[in-house]
Amino acid sequence: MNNRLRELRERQGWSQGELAEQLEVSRQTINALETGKYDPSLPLAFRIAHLFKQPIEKIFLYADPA
Amino acid sequence: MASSFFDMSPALKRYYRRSALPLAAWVLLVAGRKPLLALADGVAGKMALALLPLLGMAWICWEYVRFLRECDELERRIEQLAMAWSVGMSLLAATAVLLLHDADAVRWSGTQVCGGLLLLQCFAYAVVRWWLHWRYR
Repeated sequence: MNNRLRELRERQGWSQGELAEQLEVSRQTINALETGKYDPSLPLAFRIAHLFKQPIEKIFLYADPA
Repeated sequence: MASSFFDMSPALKRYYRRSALPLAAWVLLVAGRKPLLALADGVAGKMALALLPLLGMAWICWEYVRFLRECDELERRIEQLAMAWSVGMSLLAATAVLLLHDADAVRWSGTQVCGGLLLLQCFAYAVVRWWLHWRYR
């Protein structure tokens, strides 16, 4: 799954640490999400969508493996 | 892997702080059980004193479970995977030792086997955890 997390975070002028603090996760988690190494749980995806005031599907983009 | 105490997540820092006391208690109980055992008379007393270090270990386990509840989802995933791999490896090793003993291929004491399995479990946990932190760095 691809995502626009880095783009949205940078648009807000937040560091990974600042975003991590707002979402109450570690900076490692933000980095893993941005680099596509880790897909968030549904509750975390909703928290991210709520924070950036965007629908989930505008942030997390389904990548067809085929 | 977190390179220093300051890079660690708040939950991990809390866990390390909270587990210092139970760890010290465990070390003291392990170190002090032999002199205490010499004072005990009767099987029940000996058993109670011999198992005393388990209290410290149970306290550490309780703090670890508390840490799992408090950490974020990626950290929890890493911890659970590390624990699952290390338990799996220990089970494999325990079964291998059991089969070798049954075949009279080895003659190890219970202390040697249990000590070895404990070390293997800790080593496997540390290696898998390090590898997962490196993967998600």
